[in-house]
Parts: sequence; structure tokens; C-alpha cells
Amino acid sequence: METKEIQKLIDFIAQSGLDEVNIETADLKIKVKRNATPGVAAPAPVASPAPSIASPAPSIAASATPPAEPKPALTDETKYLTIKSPMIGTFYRASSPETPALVNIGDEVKPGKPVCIIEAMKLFNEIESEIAGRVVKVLVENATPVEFDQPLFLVEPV
Amino acid sequence: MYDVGSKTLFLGKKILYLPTCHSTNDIAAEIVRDATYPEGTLIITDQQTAGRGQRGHAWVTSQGQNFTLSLLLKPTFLRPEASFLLSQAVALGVRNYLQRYLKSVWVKWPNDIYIHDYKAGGILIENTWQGSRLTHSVVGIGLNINQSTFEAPRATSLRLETGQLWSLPAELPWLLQSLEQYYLRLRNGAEAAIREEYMSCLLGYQQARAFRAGDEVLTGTIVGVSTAGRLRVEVVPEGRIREFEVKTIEWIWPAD
Repeated sequence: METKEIQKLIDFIAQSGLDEVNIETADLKIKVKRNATPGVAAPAPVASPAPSIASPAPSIAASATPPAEPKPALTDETKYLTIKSPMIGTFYRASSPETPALVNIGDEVKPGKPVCIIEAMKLFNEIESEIAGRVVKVLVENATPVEFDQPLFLVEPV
Repeated sequence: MYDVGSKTLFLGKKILYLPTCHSTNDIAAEIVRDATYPEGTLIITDQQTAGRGQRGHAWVTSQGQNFTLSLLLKPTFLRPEASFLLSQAVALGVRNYLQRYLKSVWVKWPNDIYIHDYKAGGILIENTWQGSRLTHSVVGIGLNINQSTFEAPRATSLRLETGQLWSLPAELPWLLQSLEQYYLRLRNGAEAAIREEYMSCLLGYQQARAFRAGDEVLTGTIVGVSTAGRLRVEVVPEGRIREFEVKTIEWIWPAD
């Protein structure tokens, strides 16, 4: 793949809204990751997470072209991922009042691991993590309302 | 004991019958990832020792007299903002089954099954999401069939309303057939038709009723249900329409 093609690919990914893309062919392996974890503050902004960095400053592995500019210094929190609420409802940390919280700070999560319950109109929605990492912060109080797309957990990739 | 025969396409083709269990929804949640239990699998019991209703509420049922069952569904087509439709479709399926024998069957918001002003059934749905993708749903249904005495006030059964005993194995195929019919409508995208039918059998719709909302007692008319499932009440006398979440409003029944 030529540099130009890689540039095109990055532009495409930048516009796609994808957070992470891995491409592997016989002779190369590219990993592009967007460093634009949305802010922690709740309620979540409804608009698409506008990255504070002008271009999504992707880091490219196995590529001959270094990024045009060095990445601006990032605060610690930008390396965290968030698990967000897919719906409006009431956030519960446990499956029932008698059982312990599904995850606690320090626990490791991986895709498919149940992290919380969101109750909406008597529908009980178990939310599974789509990401892997360690929970560093629970952003919402138990038994309180949450909005669509509101960040629920801060997760440090491991 | 239970067999749905040819009445359904996929609901109840696989049946897990347990003479006794803590909660059919819990059993369903345990087997949900087991490929030997496909979509449509039915878990049915005669005796549920730890049945659940709304969060923190128990569902109490007499041994061998009523339907206590859970269905395993994979409505992966359902968007988070439209998930109340599943609740509506299941309630309509149960109601439509009872309509075989009875006229005045209603859905009390959000999804309780009422005959006249008495509760005959409840539904507890548990969904699992990966992000905004619904991977599977466990639909728990409790429906009073042959029970004739209740500790809870304002409860009834098919037997009390018809004056006869019913065979659970003979009735199950009809119940599942009706549920499947509504589930397939939902899968085929008949959202407007489901919402419309739900409104047509909503208990108290367009009637002035008394409600308790927190510490407040109010009179209002149910004027609708939002897409998200909130109850819309036009409050008398000011005429303002207010929307309510499940636990924020309670009915005040007229004295019997």
C-alpha cells in the first residue's frame, strides 16, 4: 500500500465515526485508533463527539509515514474508554436489590460481560460491555435516571 | 406433558418443562447462550418458588394451576428506542389469547393483563444488549388460569371469569400461537398497527380516573402512551398533559 492510499484510508476512517480500525493483509498490518474519547461529564453531549484535536491524529503502526505533527499532550482521562447507555431509563448496578453490583471499580470487563441494568418501562435491560479493560470509575449513581448515550463507566484499556 | 403440535412455527418447538424451579426467567437467562436452545424455546413450570414481577416485587402463583413460563426470543431487529414495542406486542398476544373466551380483556399500562378491572396476568421482559444491539430477550409471562382464590386484591383468572376448569396442556398451543402471531408482526415492522391495537385495548383510555403521583392525588384522562412507553395523562382541571414513568403514577381504584 502506498502512502497516498494510507492517507486516503485515514481520511475515510476519520469521517466514518469509527473509533478503531484494524486492517491486516499479507504484507501489512494497520491499526488506526481515534484519540477522541468523549468527556466524562454527564449528561452526555448528544452531538457527535467533536474531537478536540483538529485531525484525529491517528497512530499508525507499521507505516513508513510518521504523523505530520506530534500529538498534543493528552490528559490522563483521554486514554479511557466509556461504556454508554443505549437508552433512556433507570440505571441499576445489580440485577436485583439482593445481589451484589455486576461490576466494581478495579474489575476487569471484556466484551459480553454484563455491567449494569437499565430499567425502562418495566423492561429490564442488561447492558453488556463491548470493550475490554479495567473499570476506573462508575459515573452514575445507582437507581438514578440516565439519558441515551450517557457515559456510565470509565474503563482503562489493559 | 406439553406439546404445541403444529400450531406455531417456532415458539415452543423446544420445551423445557420443570416441575418446580425458582424462576423461569432465571433459567432462561442461564441457557440463553446454549446453542441447543434455539429462539422460541419455552421454559415452563408448575411451581415457581421465587417468581419475580417488577423490580423487587414477587409474582405469587399457585402450584399447577396457572401458566408460569418464559420464552427465549432474539429480536435483534429491535432498536433501543423502539423496545417498548416488544412489551406491547407480548401484552397483545396474551390478550388476544384470552379473547378466544372472553370479551372484556384489557391491557393496563404498561403491560398487565386485566379482565374487566381485575388483574389476570403479568409480563416481565429482560433484554440483553451489547451496546445498542439487542442480542436476546427473555419474556416471562404469568397468567392466571385455574386459580380460584387469591390473597391479592383485584386478581382474577380464566376460571373465575368463565366458570370452568381449563387444561393447561390443551391451552398452551393457543397461547403460544397468539404470541407468535404478534411477535411476527413486530418482526415484520408493523409498528403502527401494534401501537394502534394497544391503544384500542388500553384500560382506562379516554376515561377520567383518579391517580396518585408521588404525594399528589390527581384526576386525569389517559390520552395516550408515548413511543418510549410513558403514560400521557391530561390532568383535570388545568387541562395540561403530563407524562409519567412506570413507578411515578399509581391508580386509585373506586371502592368496590
